[in-house]
Amino acid sequence: MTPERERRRIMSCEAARARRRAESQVLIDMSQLLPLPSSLRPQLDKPSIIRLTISYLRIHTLLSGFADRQRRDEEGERETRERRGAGARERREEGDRERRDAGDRELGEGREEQKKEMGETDLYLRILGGFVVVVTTEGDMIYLSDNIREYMGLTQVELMGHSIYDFTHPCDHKEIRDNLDLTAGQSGCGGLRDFLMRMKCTVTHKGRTVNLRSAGWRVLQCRGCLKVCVSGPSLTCVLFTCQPLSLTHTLLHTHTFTSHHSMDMRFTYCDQRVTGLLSYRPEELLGVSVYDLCHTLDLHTLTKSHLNLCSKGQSVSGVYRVLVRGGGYMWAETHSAVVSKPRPSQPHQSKPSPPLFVACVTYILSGVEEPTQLLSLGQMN
Amino acid sequence: MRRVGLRGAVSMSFALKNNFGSPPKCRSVEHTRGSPGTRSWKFNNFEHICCILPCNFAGPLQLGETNSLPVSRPDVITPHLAGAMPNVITPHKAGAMPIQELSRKRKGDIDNRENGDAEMEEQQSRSEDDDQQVTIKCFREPHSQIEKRRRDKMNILIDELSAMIPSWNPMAKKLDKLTVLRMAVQHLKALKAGASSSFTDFNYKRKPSFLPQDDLKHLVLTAADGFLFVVSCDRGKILFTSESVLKFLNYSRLELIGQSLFDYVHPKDISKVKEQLSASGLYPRERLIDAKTGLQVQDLPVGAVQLCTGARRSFFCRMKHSRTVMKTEDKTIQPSSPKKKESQRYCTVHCTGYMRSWPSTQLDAESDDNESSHLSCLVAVCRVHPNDACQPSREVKVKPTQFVTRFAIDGKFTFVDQRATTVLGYLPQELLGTSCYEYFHQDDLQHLAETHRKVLRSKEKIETSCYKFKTKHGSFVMLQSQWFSFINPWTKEVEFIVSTNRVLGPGHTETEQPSSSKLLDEESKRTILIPGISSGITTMIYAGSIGTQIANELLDSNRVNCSPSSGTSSPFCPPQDRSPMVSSHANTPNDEVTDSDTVSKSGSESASKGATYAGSDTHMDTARSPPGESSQIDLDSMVGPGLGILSNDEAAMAVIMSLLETDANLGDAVDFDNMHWSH
Repeated sequence: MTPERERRRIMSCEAARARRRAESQVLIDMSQLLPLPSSLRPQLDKPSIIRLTISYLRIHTLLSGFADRQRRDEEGERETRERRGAGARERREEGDRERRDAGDRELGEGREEQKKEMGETDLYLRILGGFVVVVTTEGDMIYLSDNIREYMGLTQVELMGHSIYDFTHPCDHKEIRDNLDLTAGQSGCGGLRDFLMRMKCTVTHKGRTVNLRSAGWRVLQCRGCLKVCVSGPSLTCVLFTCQPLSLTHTLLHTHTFTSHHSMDMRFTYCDQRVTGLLSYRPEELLGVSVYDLCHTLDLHTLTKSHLNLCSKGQSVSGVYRVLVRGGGYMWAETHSAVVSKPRPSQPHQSKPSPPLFVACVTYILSGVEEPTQLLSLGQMN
Repeated sequence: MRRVGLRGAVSMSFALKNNFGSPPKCRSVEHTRGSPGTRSWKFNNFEHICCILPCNFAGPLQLGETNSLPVSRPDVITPHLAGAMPNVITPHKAGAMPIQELSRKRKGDIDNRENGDAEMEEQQSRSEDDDQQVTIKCFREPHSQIEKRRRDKMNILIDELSAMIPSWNPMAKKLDKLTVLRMAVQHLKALKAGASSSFTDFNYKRKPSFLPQDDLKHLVLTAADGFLFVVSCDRGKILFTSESVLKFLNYSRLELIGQSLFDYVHPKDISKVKEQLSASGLYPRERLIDAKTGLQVQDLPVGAVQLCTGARRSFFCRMKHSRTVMKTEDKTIQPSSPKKKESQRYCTVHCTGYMRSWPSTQLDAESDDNESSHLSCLVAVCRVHPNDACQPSREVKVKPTQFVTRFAIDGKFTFVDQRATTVLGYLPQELLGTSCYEYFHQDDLQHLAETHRKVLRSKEKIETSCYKFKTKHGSFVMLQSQWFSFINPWTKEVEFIVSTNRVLGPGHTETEQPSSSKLLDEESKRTILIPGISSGITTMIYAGSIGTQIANELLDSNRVNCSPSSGTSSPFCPPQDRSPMVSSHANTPNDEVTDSDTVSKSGSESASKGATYAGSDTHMDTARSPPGESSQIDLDSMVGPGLGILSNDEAAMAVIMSLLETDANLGDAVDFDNMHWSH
């Protein structure tokens, strides 16, 4: 070990230290620029700062892409509107500003105390009853609305920039991938997406927060659309809203009925309201499969929902035709959940408790269509 | 020796780590930092798992993985590993669990080290002076590896970051880290300056959100792909809608604001919407739900005096879609608008939202009733149902020359598409409950029975070759069908067969009619030629029972596979039921043989078939009830007294309560939590 070498070592050490110091300084600057609560900033480590910055830049790119398109749309729209008349023109004069303020003006203008209590966007997010996620086609979650915490226990800062695959159930990855796929045709519905996934959730249903490692899964209904942003770095994202599938807030009105089914979807119980809607008596439905009640063309819809139910425990059927006794059909949608035996408070039971039955709430969406048309044997007396 | 074995085990845990552990992901502080207490618990647990590992772990997994071991001390690790291998290869199914557990725990450890490696080391050496644990410590992943991974991760992140910076020359050589970071800072500053208004927002200063408010608002509406509206509860007046309503319902916002919502809702849905707008105080059911959910209650404003505030709503209704292009001036632009006016279209929207109250003075300045200071409204986002939008395309899927039918496994029609009537001449009710074999031409019976048999045992769709199907008028129509058996996703049993039938050649029925009637004549002659009418009867009995025979074959084969108890009732009952049906069918061949006046005959034919409905219906029930019944009994025994006994509301409540229990399937998490505390 020559002194020359020693000197060089010290020098390189010194240089490295200086470099690190500069780096940290830049990162601190960066974290200052991020729109985060100041209390959170010192807690962020270096990779997190970069991760959040990347997300921030991406979502900005995406939004500016939107803004461009919207401006173009609005300009086109304005032209057509200008031909339309005074009322519209007057409204248009306000232009972009109006768009921005639209909500404020109507939804509680100048009411500071309301704003303090609940911000404007909180309102939007609360209406959703869920949170918003923006995911790139590669699966990076570039934005999550901060109310995710209410639903999943995980925070926006924790998740943003991470891959969606790290926080969702492995069995659902294929489905997520398919839905993030740009080319996925989705049966000609444009860029619309509608699927269920299970995401890690650290809030127990008693409201307690647990460690991420012992997180449970929560079924989320994800609905949204594909957005392509080509300006600058090309970015393709799927924007969707995630709503926990709890039927608990449903106000059971006259156009819904509840039912219980065995796991193969045969009725084991049905409430009285079904008679008013579909003309079947609850007792005559017992043992009848829902598949016998649906229009054959909607078989696929129900099968998909049933499969979701079996694998994920909850499902939304989507719209299908349910056959009415005596003829005709009605459009309906069923939300269902598997009810399991309440597990004894025995920790470490890796296998799920046996399913007891399926509970369904069926919404009737339409009146009876083609009431004279008999389609199935089950409709006849 | 013991120590050697343990070394093997522990070093293998590293292999496992490499195998299962995903590249470490950065986590935020809350999770990376733990109290010393949890850390030591983790460590103890880890040690525990290591010790049990060799006996229940699936060995072969690792054979190829030895190369990827962290190679800080290959001399130590590999030989021992090789030595440990033979003991270890005990294929054990339960092995998978501890492995995953281990890799997870290990990952957590590594994350910890990123923050306080030294501290942790100290902690360990303090707490463990036992020989074994020292060994474990030696075999922990070397520091250099962790550092390397950390650097790699940083480099990936920096690369990603550099891609996001608008660079003047994207093809330039790779920038160094510090430059990228500096440029990112510059870029951020530029963005901030550009969007100064939103950044200096007073809201932002108070509680910064990651995105400016209106951007987020825009994002929400885009993601929801719907429109927003606020309706007052008392009169259904639309107080606000978002502009996007134009896109979905083709009404401008100004047109709607101030109007009654009920004018835009399908007349039959008005009562439904009214019900939703009414205060939830009237519905104790719903209030209870909110009180119990825990999760839902959290977002209720504390101290809400109004019972209805915060109550969530989720419902479907049909709303008017304006096809016409709004104003009169537009007629010049859109000459086709008068035509469109007639087609009043509704689209199904799903409204989700909640009840909220506003001081009416602010919201409803021009409103005359100021006696109530607060006005409760429904704030909701409406999404046009995606399936609704696709509906036309879905209809197109079945071409006009196609129709869909469904058979029970014995070939009886249980579902007939209305289009069948135009093709076959029968009304659905004439076909339902009868066996499809009654309509097949004799020449095709063999093939179709074969296909039937095949389809019951196959998951694939099976195409029949073209065959003749007797229409109501006695002629035959050429059909080709695609059959598939519907298998219940849960029981994996065939429930019925779905057939998509295609008429071969448009107008085939008309052109074919003379020849087919000729053919029918030939057939009738042939049946007459066969000595004795009885033969004719036997062929018809045969035709009707082919399906049941095939179904019985399947049931028999199922019974062999299933438990004997489930099958005992089914094989004997159906034949008994079937006998009267067969006798009733014995009349029909006579009608056919004479074949003079088709109209009157078909009438009597349908009447005789009507007689069979009852029989076939009961048959279906008996064939199906055994599985249904048994499962129901099981359920009853598990649930307790049948819910049917309870009153309507109680039952509904029971449903909700049970749903609450399933909500989120969070049982695991609770249990884990408890365990943490008990340790």
